[in-house]
Amino acid sequence: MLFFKRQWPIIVAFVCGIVMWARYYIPTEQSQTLQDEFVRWARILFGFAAMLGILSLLHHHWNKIKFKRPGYGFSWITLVAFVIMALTGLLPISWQWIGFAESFRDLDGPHMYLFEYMFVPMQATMFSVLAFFIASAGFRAFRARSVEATALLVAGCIIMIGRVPVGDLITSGWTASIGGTDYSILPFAQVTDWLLNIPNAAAQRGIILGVILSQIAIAVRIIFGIERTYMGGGD
Amino acid sequence: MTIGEIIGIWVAAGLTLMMFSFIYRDNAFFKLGEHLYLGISVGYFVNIQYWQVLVPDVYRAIKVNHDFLALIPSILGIFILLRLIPSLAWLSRMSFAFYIGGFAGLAIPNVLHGYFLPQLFETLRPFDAGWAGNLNQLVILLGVFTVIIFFFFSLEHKNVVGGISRVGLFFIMVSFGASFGYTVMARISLLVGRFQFLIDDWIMGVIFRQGG
Amino acid sequence: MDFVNTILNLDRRVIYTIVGLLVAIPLIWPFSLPVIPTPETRGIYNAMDALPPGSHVMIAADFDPASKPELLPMLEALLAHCFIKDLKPHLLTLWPSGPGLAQQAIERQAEKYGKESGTDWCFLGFRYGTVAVILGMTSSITDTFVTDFYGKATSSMPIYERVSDIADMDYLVDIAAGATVEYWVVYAAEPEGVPMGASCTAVSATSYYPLLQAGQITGLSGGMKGTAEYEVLLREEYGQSFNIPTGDATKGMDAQSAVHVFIVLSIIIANICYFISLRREREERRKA
Repeated sequence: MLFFKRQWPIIVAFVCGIVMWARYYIPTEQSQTLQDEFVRWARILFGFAAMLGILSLLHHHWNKIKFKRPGYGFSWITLVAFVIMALTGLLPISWQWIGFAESFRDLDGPHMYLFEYMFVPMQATMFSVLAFFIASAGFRAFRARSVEATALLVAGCIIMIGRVPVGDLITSGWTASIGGTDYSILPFAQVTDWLLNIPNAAAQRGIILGVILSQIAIAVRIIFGIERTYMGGGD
Repeated sequence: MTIGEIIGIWVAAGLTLMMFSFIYRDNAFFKLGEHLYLGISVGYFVNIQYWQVLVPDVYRAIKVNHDFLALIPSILGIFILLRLIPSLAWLSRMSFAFYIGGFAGLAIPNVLHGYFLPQLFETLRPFDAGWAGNLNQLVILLGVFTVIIFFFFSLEHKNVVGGISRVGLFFIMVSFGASFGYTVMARISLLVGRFQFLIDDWIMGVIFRQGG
Repeated sequence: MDFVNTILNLDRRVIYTIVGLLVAIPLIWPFSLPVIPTPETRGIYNAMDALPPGSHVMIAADFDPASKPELLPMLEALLAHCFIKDLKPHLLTLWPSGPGLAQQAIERQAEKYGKESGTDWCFLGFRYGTVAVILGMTSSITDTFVTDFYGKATSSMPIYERVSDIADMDYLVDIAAGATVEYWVVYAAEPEGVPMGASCTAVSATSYYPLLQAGQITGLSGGMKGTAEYEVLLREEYGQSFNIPTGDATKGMDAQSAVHVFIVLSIIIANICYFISLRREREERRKA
């Protein structure tokens, strides 16, 4: 039994990893079929894995209600909202007498109604609140305490002005004539473009190359059973 | 505008203001909105699971196309769900080993050929693009090299290596500054979007009945 | 308390109020700042505009309602561009909360331009797996998405008569709120040789410039500004003939500009006050 709990998963990971790695270098129809079948199985597996998160969340809130932990009233709201939202999409409800049509995919149906007027505004607003915090944090904490911090600050300010229409407007009229040709004194748009396409791209590429090498190292460690954190704890 | 739309916009506006109340301080309205959002999003994801995964890839494959091979990943998928039962949680290791091992193997050659090598080749391009292009290429080469040295911790960052990594740090700071600027832009955009809804759809569209 | 101390100890609710007003006022009284398209956005627009009628374009709407203001207008503009040019968009999403928004966008645009599902466009829907889905489509789109979002079999659709996998696409656009652009480049665009463009949230835009600089993507539209640029390009070319209204992203640029100017000025003023206070502290220590 211990073999199936400990060694068997490592063998499975090794075999799957080596086969899918080697498959890339064997471009035959059979190897393509093998990959197609693997990714089809993986898609179904991912679907069930997502279900795990949903069940875990519902289990947590159900326990909160069962043991009357602090804030369990809000857990009732979560569960009731879940039941209503799930049923509006899963059940073939015909609510035509109210004006709703059936079916999960119908834009006029109750499911999409809840999506449009509850899910979308709440999710959008949750992230938009960060705008206030980032403005406040920038004002209260962003200090040019060192050369590097100053470089960060200057680059940030250039992007913030250069990447909005006001950047072009501020400097569009500032030109100097040299040898009969007009040159912009502070071509904000061009400076911003250069900053993003050259030094920023260089730094991001350096980081990406390092990240890719470490991704490959971790993948090799997983295949050869050195990295086993995906198995979780326990015996 | 129908009655349903008007009610919906009032509900959406109310929920938006409830979430915005967090700016003042954490309060019961925000908690209510938070838990409501959680319940609704989970209910939505269950529908996505059912209609977009289980029905086409499992039910249709087995019942309609008689493709019984789909039973194997379904059983592996059920093993993943058994993670919630401590005595049977070990069964999920097989499922995770299957797809994590498989994707680790898939990733290595694809990422190398599709990402690493093209980026490396572009960095090491010959200088044949005119003086401005060559200068930019030189800056890119310098930037990539110095940033890689900055993240190389097997050598102590002093003397020559220290000087090179300091140049790399400068490039990183410029990049992070650009990221900061763009992050501010992203957050403000989201706020603009919510205000557009509150002003155009709720206040002007419903309260003042314009463009309805 | 003097000005320097007032600034350094300013209540954060004053900042929140100013930000709120600077967003609301330009939306009520717009000052219509001109949006000038950048070469990055033109890269996507020109590639789309150069496609002959009947070309197939795969559009991945990999975003959720949290990124709606930045990316939904871009999806609408791309779909409008497709329908104006008689291109055939294949829309899908790799994010679980993406289908709702994607469905609204494509049904809205299809109704406006009189296009038929299954013949002129197809909304494939969502599948879990990201990389697994992309890899599956490099082999067969109709096997990966056996049915479209509406439950109809894809193999019998006229739009899939001459298209079997991603390599048959003439252009690919990923509208991404996360890291999916890399997956599309690595597993689809590069190995299959399909030209690709990317539209992303501003948060992730800086990390995709290496791809643009290396030519792995033809164009990059970052954030609401990038979306506004695409809307402007579309209106300039086709606005009159097809009655295209000013897009939501373009309308938001005034508010965006106002807040950005405020944030930059506030950071500069706060830093000046900080250095003045540092100098004062040094002088007080010297006197003591």
